[in-house]
Amino acid sequence: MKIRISDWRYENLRIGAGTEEVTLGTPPKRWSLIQMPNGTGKTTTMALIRAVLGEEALNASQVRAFRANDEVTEGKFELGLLVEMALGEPAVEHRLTADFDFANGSCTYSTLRPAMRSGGREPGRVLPDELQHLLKPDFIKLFVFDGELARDIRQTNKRAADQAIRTLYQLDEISNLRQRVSEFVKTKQDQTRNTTGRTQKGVTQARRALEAAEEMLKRLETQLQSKSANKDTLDSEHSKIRKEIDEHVAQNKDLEEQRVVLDAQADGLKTDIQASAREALLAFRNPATLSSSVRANLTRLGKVLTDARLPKSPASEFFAEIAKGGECICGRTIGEAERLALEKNRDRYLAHDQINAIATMKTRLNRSGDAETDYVTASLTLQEKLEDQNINQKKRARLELEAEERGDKDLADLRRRAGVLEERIASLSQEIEKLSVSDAAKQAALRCDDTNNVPLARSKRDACEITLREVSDSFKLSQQRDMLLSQLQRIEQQSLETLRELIRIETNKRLEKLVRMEELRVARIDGALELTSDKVERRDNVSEGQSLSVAYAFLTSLLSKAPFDLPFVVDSPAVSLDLDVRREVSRIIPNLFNQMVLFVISSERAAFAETFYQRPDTQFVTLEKRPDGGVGCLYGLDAFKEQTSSGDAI
Amino acid sequence: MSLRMTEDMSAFFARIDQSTIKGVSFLEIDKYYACLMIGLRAAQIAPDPKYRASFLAAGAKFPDAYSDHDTYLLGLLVEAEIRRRQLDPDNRDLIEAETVRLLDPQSPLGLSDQGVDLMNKYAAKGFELLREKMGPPRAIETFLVTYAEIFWRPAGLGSSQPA
Repeated sequence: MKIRISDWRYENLRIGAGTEEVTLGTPPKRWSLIQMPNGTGKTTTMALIRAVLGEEALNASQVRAFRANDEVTEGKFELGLLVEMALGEPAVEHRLTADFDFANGSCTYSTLRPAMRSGGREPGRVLPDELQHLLKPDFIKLFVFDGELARDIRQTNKRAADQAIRTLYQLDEISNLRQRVSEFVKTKQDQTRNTTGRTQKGVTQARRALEAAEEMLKRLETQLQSKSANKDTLDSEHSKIRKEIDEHVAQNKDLEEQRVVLDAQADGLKTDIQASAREALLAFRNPATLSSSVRANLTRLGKVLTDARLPKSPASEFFAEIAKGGECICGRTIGEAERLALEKNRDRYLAHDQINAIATMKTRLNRSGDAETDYVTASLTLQEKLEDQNINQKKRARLELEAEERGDKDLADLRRRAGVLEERIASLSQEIEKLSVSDAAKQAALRCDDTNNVPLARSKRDACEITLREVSDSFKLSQQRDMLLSQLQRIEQQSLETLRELIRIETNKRLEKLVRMEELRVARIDGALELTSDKVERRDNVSEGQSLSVAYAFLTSLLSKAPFDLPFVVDSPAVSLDLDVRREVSRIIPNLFNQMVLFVISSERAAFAETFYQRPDTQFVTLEKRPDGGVGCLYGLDAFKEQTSSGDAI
Repeated sequence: MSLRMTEDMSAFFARIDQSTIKGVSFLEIDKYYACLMIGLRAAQIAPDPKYRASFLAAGAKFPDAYSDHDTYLLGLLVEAEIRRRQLDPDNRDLIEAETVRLLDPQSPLGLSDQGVDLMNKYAAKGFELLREKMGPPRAIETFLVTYAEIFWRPAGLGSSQPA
């Protein structure tokens, strides 16, 4: 991807009141030398370029520092960029703008892409995705060159060299990925119910809980199976004994006749009880037949509604219609006051459906006295039948006793055994019910829990299984996270070390050409560049020129490896260099970048800017102060050559 | 909002025989209704009952067994509220307002949310009164007889009304 600066435009900024535009040629020239006297805004321009490229958040005092004078309230800086996505593709113009509101100290960024069909300004910085990610303040300082960086890259505590490598090669993305991995695992684990067991100990505990629950379920199921089988055996034994008892009773003809009659009577009573219970239940369900007091309450309400002439006939909808219609049925006009009163008070009246519901209820209430069979009568009949059944059962038992009294010795034993069996069967039935009941209400009534009820023990086992799965997954996830984080850290560290070495070698190759007087080299990169020379092993003190040369060598090594062809913008590149070094620098540096924008002062013409005079692909721009406080922009070599240190072009 | 039994009410009836009587079953709504009628008759409500989930599906009407009598249930609720709140039965506006407060013809049960809430509270109170008079029932037949006896002899059921 190729990025070029085509121009920029100031409006009411510190450089001068009014509007001024600097263009770097169409298409932009490879070298642009912008000559501006000291104090006329080179640093400001650099800061503005960095601000719009990085969409920097500026505070009020930073914003106001850009103000041309106290009379202006607003200002603007617009940077023209040409972005060529791939070789041969047409460049797309992006105009990044910062609008300053000096009154409230705010700055708003926007982007204009004239080639886009919609064509309007878009809020914020809008650039191709890869650039959006790359153009962060630290990275921008590498190519909109901050002079501070030349010193910082050699200061161990600032780690600026490492940071430059990390930024360009996006090693920070690995750190971000590690952060995201940790956050993802945390979110995942927070979503699970169990938050205690993410360790091996937690997994062991959950496994033990599941084993205990499975053991308990198995024990209860075995108990249930055994008790059910036992009950079946006892039921069968009981039936056999009852049959034997009947056979013993049948040996007495008169008693047998009575038994037959009583059994027939019992069958009849069973049917009668069912019929009476059904009738009683149906009567119970109807409040009008439940009791005379309930019926009285129903008719009383019916009377209340009748006496009160409820429901009232006008419905709330009636008043709503009048309010909306604008005229009453009597012909009077409904004004705003009347309309509001009607709207407010219509809630006092029932809606149509409410009127109908109450009318229906009233009719039914007034007829509730007509109900047929009442619950009292039905329950009395049922009670009689139940009592008859009780008497029948007693008579049946009496027959057996009488047969026993007549000397049937075996019968006594049979009856005793039947009684014992009945007690055991009843007891077993209760135990089986407690073990097997699944209805929640019955479980509560029988005080069931997961230690005495199979369905509850099964639910506990299922819950333990889920917990174990969650805890195991969570533990596994933690292990995977740790492994991944360690791998990522290793990759990050190894990448950084490899890149440091590559860039060190490349930097030294360039230094060889740049600093010929002394064999100045980068010994190692570890946060900062550590220098050595043929004279001393560790070279901490270097001249300004050497410092700048090291910085250029380092940066060009870095940027030459980047997948982006970026412009290089630098402020006063030669001001601190002596003439010999300037000549060297000006011989080598121009070839390092495909677009260079160099802010210079008149004193840098000697041995530096003048070396560009013969280069055909150069744009010479001279900014001069105007008497009105603004600046003027002159293009061409003649004006460039003539500017004095005070800023007067001629 | 729907009809709900308290936890105790549900446990109290848990062991009643669920077998059908000539094709008619004893339903969850029967248990609720048995308590409700006592609460309505006493015109008393439980202040803050602990409910179980509703035994009716969301948005359900009164079950078929009560669909012919639902108007009575609504009427009895209005009547009980008039007594409980000691409203003047001759005050036309007041009675109409009370009816509007409790009933909602558009809702599945014909009751407003307030109406449903109050009906549940009457049932909860009715259960407390019923439990004082009988133990947990085991058979429908004996329950029907015992319940009728309790209803005939309302002393202690919180009402001075005759049977």
